[in-house]
Amino acid sequence: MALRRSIVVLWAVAAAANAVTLWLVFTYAPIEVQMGAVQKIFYYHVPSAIICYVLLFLSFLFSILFLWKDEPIYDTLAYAMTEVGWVFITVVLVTGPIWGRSAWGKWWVWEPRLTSFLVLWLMYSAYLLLRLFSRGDARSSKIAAVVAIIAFFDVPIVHKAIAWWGSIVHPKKVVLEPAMMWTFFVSMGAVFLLAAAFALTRTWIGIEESRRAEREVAR
Amino acid sequence: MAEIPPILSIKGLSKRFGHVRVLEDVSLDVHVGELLLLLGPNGAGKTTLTRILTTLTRAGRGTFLFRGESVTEKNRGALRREIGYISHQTFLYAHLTAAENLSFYGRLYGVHELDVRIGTMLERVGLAGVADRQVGTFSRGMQQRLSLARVLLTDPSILILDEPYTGLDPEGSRTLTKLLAGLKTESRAVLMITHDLEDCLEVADRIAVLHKGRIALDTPAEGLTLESARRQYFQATTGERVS
Amino acid sequence: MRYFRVVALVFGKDFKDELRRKENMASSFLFALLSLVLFAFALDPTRVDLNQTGSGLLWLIILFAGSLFMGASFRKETENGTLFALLLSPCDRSAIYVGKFLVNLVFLVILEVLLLAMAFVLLNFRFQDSVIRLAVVWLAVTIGYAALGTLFAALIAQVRGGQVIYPILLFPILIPLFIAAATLTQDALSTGFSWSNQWLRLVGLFDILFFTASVFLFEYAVEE
Repeated sequence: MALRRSIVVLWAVAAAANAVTLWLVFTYAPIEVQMGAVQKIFYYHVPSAIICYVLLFLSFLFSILFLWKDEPIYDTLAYAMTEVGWVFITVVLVTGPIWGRSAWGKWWVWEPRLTSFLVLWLMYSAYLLLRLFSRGDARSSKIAAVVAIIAFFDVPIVHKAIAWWGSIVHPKKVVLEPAMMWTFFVSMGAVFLLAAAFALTRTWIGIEESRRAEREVAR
Repeated sequence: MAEIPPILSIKGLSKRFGHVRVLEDVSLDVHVGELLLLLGPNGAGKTTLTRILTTLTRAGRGTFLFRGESVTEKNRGALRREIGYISHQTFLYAHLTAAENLSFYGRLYGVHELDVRIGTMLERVGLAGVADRQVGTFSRGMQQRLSLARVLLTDPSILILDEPYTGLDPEGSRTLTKLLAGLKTESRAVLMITHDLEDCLEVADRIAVLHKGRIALDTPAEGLTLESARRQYFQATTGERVS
Repeated sequence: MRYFRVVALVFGKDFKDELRRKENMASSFLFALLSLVLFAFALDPTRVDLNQTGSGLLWLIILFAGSLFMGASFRKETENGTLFALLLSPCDRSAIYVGKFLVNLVFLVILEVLLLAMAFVLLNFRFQDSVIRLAVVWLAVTIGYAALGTLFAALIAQVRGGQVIYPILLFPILIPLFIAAATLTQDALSTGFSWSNQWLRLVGLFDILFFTASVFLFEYAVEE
């Protein structure tokens, strides 16, 4: 069906884009003076963070649409966006310390942005846990939607609160050389495509799962 | 009886949960002064239909009329005020007294002259003497009686009994059947969802059978013997003709 | 007006119920005292000055003990189907939420007062000079806590293992409020406090946002 074909194409494009990115990162982008080669993880770390916000916003949007319209496709989409968003939060939390280790000498520092992402990770892990606990319950979709909406409302508040609380160790204004800038744009696009491929695949899986469930009940 | 318009009327109602079609093109009328039996095997959709009638679940496609008007957000409250619901659950607060339970529900439903009505209801179900005892100390039978008082307190025009015979011994069943006869009045409709034809056929006015989300049978109960009723039920739920 | 009458009705019924029930309140208060004692053993009050570090600690206890109480607020309604009966009734659904929210709020305030008393006696926690500031700050934070705590209690009331997942779900979302509570308490006890504090504004925003959101979302939390 059309969706499956587009997903395959999307993966192909994403794979190509990421291959190009990796090549650029290691051959074209210059090595940063202070932090050395490990700084290159920035090309995946930052786009991942940005894409998180996009995915979590979509999770919020589809949750609202689900409560409003009561159409199952919105629930499938909300679940997919949240799960893929969570994956990218994890990526940020893993790439961050790797970069941090070489930049600050410690695996973890309680600086605002990374700490905020830790809280986001906790919030959305709870969402996924709830989905597992309540699987099979008739109302599980509605319950999850409410949680996703509340969680997203909290995202800006979490950032603000932790920013006021923490010290600033994260490099603030990163001045990018043109070569770095271009590489960054390419990596941004590549990560975006990767996220889109993941999200669409996960949505497709969700649709297939509910179709299977429907067939079983009909039997 | 067919001349007065139905108090509740659904036409062509379909309802899905996710991709599962629970109700398909269901049409049913509920009239005052009538006791309607709704039968059907498990999974037929009786629960969903009941939930829609009581506005707990949003109706899917189709029309749903209350006193001739479409049921919307606006008149949902009015419909709920006129519904009384009985099931095997007691809906009672164990740590409140009998009188406090009735007072709470009475005020929730905006019942007039509440104190007087509470007194009357407690007398009617024979619990006047224990009005100030916590419901948790009551026996099962006493709780069921108070549960009935709770429902009748608000004088509902639509009484829905959801498998009320569950867990009753033959004595209890006989008592319930006798009670049922008195529950339907000129201004009240009774809808009973049940598995069991035997206990209540004698007081029923109409029988409807729900099977796999569809109405498979909708017939007056007048003159129907238990045997012929059983036959029709079997036919409706298996699609086989039985001589 | 009918709306507020229903709120008052639900509040009255539930408050009476909790007072007679006792077990939810008792276990929560006892847990708070227990936590305080455990913290004392963990931190050795003879060397640590709890007037410096106590703020966050107290709020940690309020968080845990409070969630023990609130987590059960809708579960008990599933016992005899009373939640179902409430949903069948003609009242505005959100009035049920507000009534329950108020019960939880009152209970949390009682818990906090008791906790302060216990901290005063056991850990020499001095707050006499800042009672008003503390009261305002703590009430503001408690409103936000009760608002989301009540909503989430409704969400997990009928979920298998709901009581386990309740704090896991609720606490991360409360983190900004928690940080604010600890910081504001610290400030209230010291001389640097100002009523135009940015943290106080954060708490105000949190309260308004999440109370309003909960009032709207409650319908969906309990709908079939």
